[in-house]
Amino acid sequence: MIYILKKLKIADFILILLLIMSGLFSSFYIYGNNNKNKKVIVELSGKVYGVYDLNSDRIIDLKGPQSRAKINIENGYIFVSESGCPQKICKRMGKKNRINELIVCIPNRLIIRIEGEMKNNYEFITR
Amino acid sequence: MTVEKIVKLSLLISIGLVLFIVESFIPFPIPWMKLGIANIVSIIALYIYGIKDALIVAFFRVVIGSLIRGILFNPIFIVAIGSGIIAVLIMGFVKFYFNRFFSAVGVSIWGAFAYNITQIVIYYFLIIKRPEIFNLVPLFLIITPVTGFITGFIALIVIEKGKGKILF
Repeated sequence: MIYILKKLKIADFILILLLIMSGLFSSFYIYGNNNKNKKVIVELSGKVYGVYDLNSDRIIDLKGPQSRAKINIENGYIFVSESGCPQKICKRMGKKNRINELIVCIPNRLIIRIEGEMKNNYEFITR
Repeated sequence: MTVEKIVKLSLLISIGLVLFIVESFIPFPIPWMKLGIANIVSIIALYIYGIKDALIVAFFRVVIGSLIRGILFNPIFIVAIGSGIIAVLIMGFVKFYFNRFFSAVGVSIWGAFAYNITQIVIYYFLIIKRPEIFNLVPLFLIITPVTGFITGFIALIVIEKGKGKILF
């Protein structure tokens, strides 16, 4: 086995390294923090309260039926930072940045959803 | 082509078919991912007999393998045969011009790379027709060195250990 390993040549390893490196770099480029065309839609009591860009940081302060709520958009993520509702489930739902993800606060009748063009909507996968 | 040669190539094709069938039983987390161990016989044929016989082996392996798995002449078959033949051509090219630099492992990685890229291009033009499919390229770039190394290394063992044996 060892002598077969010695049959490998330098260029083999350079090729392996090059492919893995280019794969990693291009995957950072393609799958990385890609928030282009992503819109945040905030709905309050069934009506659209506002549409925001996920790329620009901002704080949205709003008053729901139950209490005030503070929604932060920070570094391409959206999350509820403050809410007066009793269970604080919306706060614990954490940071979201993917298309079709939701943050919901039932007491405040607040729905935050992320919309955009899906990149990988496959028709089918087969093998 | 002598009878001896025909028998030897048929032997390689049947080994490839067994590997092809066995491979389809191996589960993988990613549905498009395959080890490509059936490609071992193409590499062996390429190293021992040359590119023409490697093409024959690859062609008949894919055709008969698709017949067994029941996918003959459907789109997946076109993808399999197109990318299989392109992969053998690329491997032959690399072996012919860059034999000094690459061992069988490097040639196998080139083959796996060519196979995956051709597969995506054929899928794009024939079936999916959405440019998003090229988002898979980085994934394949990371996977091909791994699968190519495994198949190439097995082929290298067979080529080295089999020198002067009956098959060769």
